[in-house]
Amino acid sequence: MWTIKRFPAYWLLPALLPVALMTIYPVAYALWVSLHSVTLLFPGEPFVWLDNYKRVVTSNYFRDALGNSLLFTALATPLVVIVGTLVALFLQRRFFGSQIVRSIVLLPWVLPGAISAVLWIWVFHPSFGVLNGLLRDLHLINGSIPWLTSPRLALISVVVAHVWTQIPFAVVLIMAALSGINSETLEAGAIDCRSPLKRFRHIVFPEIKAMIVVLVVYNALTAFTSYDLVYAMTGGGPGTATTLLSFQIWRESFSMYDFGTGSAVAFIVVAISAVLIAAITRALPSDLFASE
Amino acid sequence: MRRNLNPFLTFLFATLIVLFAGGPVILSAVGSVVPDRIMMDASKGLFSEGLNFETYRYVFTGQLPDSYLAENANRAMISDAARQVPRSLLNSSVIALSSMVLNLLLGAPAAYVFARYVFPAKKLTFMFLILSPLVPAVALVTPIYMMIQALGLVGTQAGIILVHTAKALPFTVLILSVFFRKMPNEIFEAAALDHCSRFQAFWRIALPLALPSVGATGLFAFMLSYSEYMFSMVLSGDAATRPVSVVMAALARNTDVSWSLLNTGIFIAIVPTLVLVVFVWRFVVEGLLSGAVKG
Amino acid sequence: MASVELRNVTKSFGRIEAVRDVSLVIEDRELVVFVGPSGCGKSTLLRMIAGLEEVMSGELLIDGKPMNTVAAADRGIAMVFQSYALYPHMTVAENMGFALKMLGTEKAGIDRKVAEAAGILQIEDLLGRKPKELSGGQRQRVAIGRAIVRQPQVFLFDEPLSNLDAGLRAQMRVEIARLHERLRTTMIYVTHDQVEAMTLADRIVILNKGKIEQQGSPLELYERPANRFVAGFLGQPKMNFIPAVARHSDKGTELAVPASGRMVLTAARNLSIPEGANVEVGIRPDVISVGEAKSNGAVPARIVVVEHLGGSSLLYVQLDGLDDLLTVEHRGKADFSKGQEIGLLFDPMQSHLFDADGQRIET
Repeated sequence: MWTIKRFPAYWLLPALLPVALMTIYPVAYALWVSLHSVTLLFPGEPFVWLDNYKRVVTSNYFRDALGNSLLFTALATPLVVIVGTLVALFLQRRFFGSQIVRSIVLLPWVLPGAISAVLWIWVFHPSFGVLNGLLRDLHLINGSIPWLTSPRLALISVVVAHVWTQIPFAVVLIMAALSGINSETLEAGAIDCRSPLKRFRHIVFPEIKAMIVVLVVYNALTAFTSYDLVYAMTGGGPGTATTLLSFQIWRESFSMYDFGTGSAVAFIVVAISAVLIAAITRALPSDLFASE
Repeated sequence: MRRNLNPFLTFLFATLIVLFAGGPVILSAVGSVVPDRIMMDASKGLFSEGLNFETYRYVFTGQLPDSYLAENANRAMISDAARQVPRSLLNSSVIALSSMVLNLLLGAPAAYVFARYVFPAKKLTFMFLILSPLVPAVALVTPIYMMIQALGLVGTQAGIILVHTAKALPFTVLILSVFFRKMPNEIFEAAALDHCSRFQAFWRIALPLALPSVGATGLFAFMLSYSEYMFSMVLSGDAATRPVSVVMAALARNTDVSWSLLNTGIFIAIVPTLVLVVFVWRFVVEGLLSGAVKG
Repeated sequence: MASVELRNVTKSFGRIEAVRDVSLVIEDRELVVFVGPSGCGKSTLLRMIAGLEEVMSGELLIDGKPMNTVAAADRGIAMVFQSYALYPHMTVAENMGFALKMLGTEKAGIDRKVAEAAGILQIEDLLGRKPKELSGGQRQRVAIGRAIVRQPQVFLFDEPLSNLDAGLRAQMRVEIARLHERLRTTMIYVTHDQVEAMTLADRIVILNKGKIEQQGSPLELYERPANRFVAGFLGQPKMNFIPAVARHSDKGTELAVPASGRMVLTAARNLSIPEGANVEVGIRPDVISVGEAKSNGAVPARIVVVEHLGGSSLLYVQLDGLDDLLTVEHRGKADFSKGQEIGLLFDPMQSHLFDADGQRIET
């Protein structure tokens, strides 16, 4: 790699400045807010040190919401990456209609979250839902399964919907990584290992490992910090079954108008995601970060 | 690797993928042409009254569907938001395309120097870019709103474009730098010998070579902007400037609204993007698969 | 037209020393080949001349002018890369004219020079195509054409033929030789293939572990290798090395295989080797003659493998007391078979002697 002696400002600042503008001040502001009592009801913004954080950690929702968020992340992240990789591997092949299937895979991507939520509500709807209708037609069930209104099923349902929205991006990146593998490597692999499973494990996987790590990190982050799809589908219910920690940022800030506490939740989420990312990158060794 | 799978298994997998990825969308296409009362009536076949395009007519012309005028129909089932869908599509296209172009314009040079050069403070700036999306956006809504307000851009598309661009840039830089790094060194050495300046090597060699990857990355920025809801909601003004995610959310949150009308809105919102995505994706995938990057 | 001079040039990557204190003068219009095993530093040396690697210490001069800090593009050199490094998104003509375009040459001038170079290489009909649509040999020609268009003072070739199949490689070798004939420009050519080195070079520079082992004309190196490394590197099939012990007598010096005590060579006079010293006798396969097993003065051997090449045969034979098989090239037709006992005659005049450090012993 070549060396530039001075910081290449012309090359970097166009990208760095907008990001800095949208990050440094807002984050500093949010941090400041999280250490003050900022509410709509009481004027004045007294410094309260870590009171907001204490309030979040001792609140009645914290344990449930954190548990739900971790469970949601732990279910959704591997599902997205595994299913995405399998689909990408499958779509690498050419078969009759493969181009059409490749395009259809992207469908979930083009939909704003609100639309995805509506579609999946329609799938899971207890009485008019397609899923129950299908199961009834196949005579597998008689009544209706309350997909979104029984606690355990609701969490699974929102995970399925979330995975659905995230798969296209995983497929795109894995296919890009797969296309970068030297075809001779693959041919050598085809000769050396008879079992496709072993071939993937020893030949293909090492080549796309870096991309998979990127995807795992990105998806863990997305699953842990996004809430709009889940909120639109279940409103966090039934009870607190699908209440996610990230949702509490919004609820505290814009529903309770307690901006200090809302920001405190946000930084708790940041801290936990940082730990998650560190754990993931350590658990999945990759030369990707070392080479930076 | 290219050994053919059993044709039956291929068909099975392909069908499963199509059903899972496309199923909900197919449902909305079906739902948009079947009136609610037939949909809710288990005794009637879905298409027993043929296809019904009243809701499409309403969205584009404002003429109320006959079925909602008769039989004491619930007027609340008709939402004004549905009529905003076509306009919002246009707004979203402008916003998402601008965000995409800005992302590539601002992000590609940075990705290039990150991928191919060592320079002072490289690690620091790279870490900054990578870590900046870590903070949940919802925590930043208030300060960002205040900043956009200070710039006088609240209620304009420019404000939304600025936020979307900044939100997608870290990913744009990361993904593009992966692609730029994959290019063979010798090409750039040849370019250096051919009197290319750093910028010329980037502009005339790296960028054209990475075109499919640039397309994929642009698509990512486009999608991020197109489906973003929160900032679009907070920063958009009246109905004339609202992007599709905001309009669709309004339509979807209205619990009374007719399924048929909602599905019509969804389907109209999907089609143009779908066309764009298929077009770009074909170009991206074929480019990647033909190994254009490797030369 | 220019000479290239290296003065005490050194380069290391981290802790690995790629080039160690190399000094070398390449004369104007000379075709010099750098050859050596992979990792010997030959490519690094070439890339330093090109300006693609920084010279860490020492001096580099082209045409008498110091070049250490001159940018690669301004050194008046052109380089042909191993992978060709053609720009995939440009046509052949655009590829060839790109350097001139970057220099701001007007279009007519570029077209003229591209056409001229295409004429030399007979690729006029390919000018409109993209590299993807070319065969390996055609890409190679385009890569060379791109170098010619720049009218450099020095041509640099970095293993340009190693991606081609054997037939094409031979053909392109001849073409590069003809090109040098025609252009009369200084050329530096890097390869690991000693056949390319032998056939192309005015002068060969053999490198090993970052140092020059020996330099000289191909025949000089072939006939008087300075050490065991050079002797073993040049020549196909490779030279045989037989470990031996020297013994002096009034008839001259005898060299014998230690394990069997069997005599290999007898020099008619006393050589300046200490009594009992371990040496290695180097004999090329084509100067060993094959006779009857019991013939006078012959060393008995047994054939292990025979390769019939038509005009000649390669025999791999076992000698008593030697672990390695000897290679013998026998010209003309002969019926040899596996397991056959034969006698070998070694010609002292065409043998090389190397001491325990691998240095040549003059005889």
